[in-house]
Amino acid sequence: MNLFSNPEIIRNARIQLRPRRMLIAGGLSLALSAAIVYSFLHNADKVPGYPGSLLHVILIIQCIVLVFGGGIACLHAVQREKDQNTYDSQRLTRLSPWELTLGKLFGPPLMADFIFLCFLPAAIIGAVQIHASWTIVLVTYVLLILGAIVFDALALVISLYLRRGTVTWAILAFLYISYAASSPLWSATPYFHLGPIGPFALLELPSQPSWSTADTVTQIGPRSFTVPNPFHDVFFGAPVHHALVLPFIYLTLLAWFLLAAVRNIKRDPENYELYTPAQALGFIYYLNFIVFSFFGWNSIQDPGISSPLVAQSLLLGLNMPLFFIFGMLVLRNRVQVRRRLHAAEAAPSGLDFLWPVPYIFAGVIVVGAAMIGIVEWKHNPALEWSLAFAIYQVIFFAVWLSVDLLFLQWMNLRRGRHPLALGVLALAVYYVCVSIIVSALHLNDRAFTAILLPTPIFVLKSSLWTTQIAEWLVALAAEAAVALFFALLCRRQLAELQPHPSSISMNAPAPSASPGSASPSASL
Amino acid sequence: MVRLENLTKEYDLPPIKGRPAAVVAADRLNLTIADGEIFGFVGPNGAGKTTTLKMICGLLVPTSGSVEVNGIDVERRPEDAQQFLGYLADFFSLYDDLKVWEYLDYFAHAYKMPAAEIPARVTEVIAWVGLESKRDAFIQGLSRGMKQRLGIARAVLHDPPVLVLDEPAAGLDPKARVELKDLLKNLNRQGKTVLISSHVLSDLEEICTSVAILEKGHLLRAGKLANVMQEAAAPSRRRIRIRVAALGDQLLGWLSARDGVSDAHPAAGVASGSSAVDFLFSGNDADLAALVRDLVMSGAPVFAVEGSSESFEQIYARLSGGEVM
Ligand SMILES: Nc1ncnc2c1ncn2[C@@H]1O[C@H](COP(=O)(O)OP(=O)(O)OP(=O)(O)O)[C@@H](O)[C@H]1O
Ligand SMILES: [Mg+2]
Repeated sequence: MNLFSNPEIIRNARIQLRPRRMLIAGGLSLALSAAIVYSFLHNADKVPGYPGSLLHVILIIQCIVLVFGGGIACLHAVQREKDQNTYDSQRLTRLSPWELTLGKLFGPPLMADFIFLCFLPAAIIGAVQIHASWTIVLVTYVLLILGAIVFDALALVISLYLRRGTVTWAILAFLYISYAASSPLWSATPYFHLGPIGPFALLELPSQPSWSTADTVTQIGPRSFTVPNPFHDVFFGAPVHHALVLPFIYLTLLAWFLLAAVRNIKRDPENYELYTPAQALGFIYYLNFIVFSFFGWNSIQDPGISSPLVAQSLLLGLNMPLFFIFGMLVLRNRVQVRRRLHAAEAAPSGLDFLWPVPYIFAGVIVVGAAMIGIVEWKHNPALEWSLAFAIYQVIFFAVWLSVDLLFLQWMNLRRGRHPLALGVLALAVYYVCVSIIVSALHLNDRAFTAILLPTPIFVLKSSLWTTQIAEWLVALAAEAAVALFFALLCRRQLAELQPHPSSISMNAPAPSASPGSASPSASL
Repeated sequence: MVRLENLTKEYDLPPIKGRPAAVVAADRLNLTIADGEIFGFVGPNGAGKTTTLKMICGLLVPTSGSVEVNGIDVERRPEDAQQFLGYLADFFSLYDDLKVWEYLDYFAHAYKMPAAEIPARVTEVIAWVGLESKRDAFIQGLSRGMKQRLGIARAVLHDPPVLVLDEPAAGLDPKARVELKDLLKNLNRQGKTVLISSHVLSDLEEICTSVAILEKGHLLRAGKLANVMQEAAAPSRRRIRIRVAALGDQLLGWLSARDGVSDAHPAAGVASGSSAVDFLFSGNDADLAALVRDLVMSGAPVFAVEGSSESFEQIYARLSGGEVM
């Protein structure tokens, strides 16, 4: 559907872009950019290159307006409708989920977009001033806008879950995430060759003299320094420019976020389900595809970097947060479980209480097999590597994940205001406390510590593994027992949610007792 | 046609004294609402009216059971079903920073009405609810009742065959209430089905063709208004007044001794010059005829017999156990 005839966008335009408001916002932005342009032109001789130039400063302002301003507007997009009681009337219209999602993605940030445009003339002057390459500036802007849309879509998905009391925290978290994702720190390890994907990282793009991925060598006095090129990504060993990778990542991420929003935006909020379990599996495979593509695989061949065992532990470690997100995506809440139990009419499938363990295993096994397969195939045989241990590591990882997610599933089935949030908080506090104690007692590499905390399996040396196999297997069995314990707790919770047979027999005669209500249709 | 089948909704409540609690806001409701009805949902606070109406509109997923609107399952094909529905929530809000006509224009487009018809339709509906003078005003500046009217305007805007109104009369002045009733009767005459919940029982009695009485999620009675009243006002509970030229203790004693008569007492507030006695009579019309004949034969100066049936309000209060009103 045409975006310009999307009623939701038109409504936002009517509210935000009233002539008076446009005049004020436009006037202020133009006045500010004029002042900045004047100050830079006045001191033109003192600005040698791009960093610190007029273009750079204007880009920073535009990026803040577009990413922060637009993102905050999208964080409010659904939350505000819910809090002011207008959401139901929107859900009832014939706007398709797609139209409503696009309307809420592009509508709320309209004012931010307008201010962004107001700064464009100043940016053009800035680009002319430093004779920037037009293609590079153009690509910067295209990627900036695309990146902002991706983060807006993320904000929109988050907005589905927000209410008045939580929106401030969400804004702070969003600002942090969008800024942290732009930080060059995250690619500063030798193991991961993907530049930052946050839009703020693009501010450095116009400083590139060309599309080369080569590092720059600067000569300061007699010594020369190699400055790593921040836009140098390595895709399965081949160098590619970050500006080529970004569109792929942005478009795929956008598709995932839009899928989540479209699936849920018109649903009953109690029945939200970001992805079906199969889609959630697809999401975790997708994330791992990105991790694998840009992983520093030379670390499993080059003894100068590290060993295959460390690489494998790292990959698994990277997967911890990913699988945690995955697990949260497939958890069920009380409303959903109750509906399942009612639909199954008192005969629930016997394995419901193990949810979401089957999907965790499906995820971990595929990812783990790919991981181990690549290392086994490519690694340098001279380096430390043990196939048996790697397999053990992956299985332990899956069981450990099952424990945590069964705990969260159990919490999510309990009554209360925010049982899941409470569960996540309890888990975080638990891990912080246990890791403080464990490291204070120097128990980091003991098998039995692994029952409390998964770190030992990430730091384990294969020499230790071969001497203590029995202990490690006992630890695994103990971990599985803990998982079973939480599964049984889940089962108790499920029993509470069963439709009560007693209430059925008690209430059933009520409608049929009087001829009028037995079959009201007959009397109408 | 709207059909509810075993519609059930359970909510969790915060634990009471540490014990888990749940509330069944709708308990296996079975109802068929034919086209062209004005169907009233009545019940005390917390009976489950709002919950039921929201499930009918597909805004709330039922715990179990299903709703069909014109043969379309609301849960499975919400967009298709919702094109037939106009809904006004009990507590709703409007977009404060839109103008009245912009608000309606937005919903007209959102309901995918043909673009060429929209301006005329918006003007027509604004006139209908009497907001012509506020057409270009911001919604923020409207009074509570005006907002209610605008909400009603939105619900009828796309001319839906089924209109679901949750306490639409709340906040309206008496004149507007009358207008609302006229509006609903008008829509009904055009063949629209109206589902309405209200506490103003006399309003419902006046306009509804059928009612459902809910309490604690249960359907106590449902059917044509007249049937529900007749059935609920069982013969056992008929109130009879007999007017006599002169009332003696003898007559009261005679009546009290009769089978089927209870609570016989002299009527209060009867015009001077005559007296009357009231009693509750359980028995059918033939029994009553026999009683009157015996009374006349025994020499009582009877000159009128009046039967008064209970009003809907009384029946309702009795059926619902008068829980919360
Ligand atoms: N979101 C909710 N969470 C928990 N319980 C709820 C929720 N909504 C309604 N209930 C409960 O469901 C029952 C029915 O509520 P509902 O709002 O449907 O009643 P109602 O008949 O519309 O009442 P009223 O006349 O006051 O509008 C009540 O006991 C109420 O406490
Ligand atoms: Mg209500």
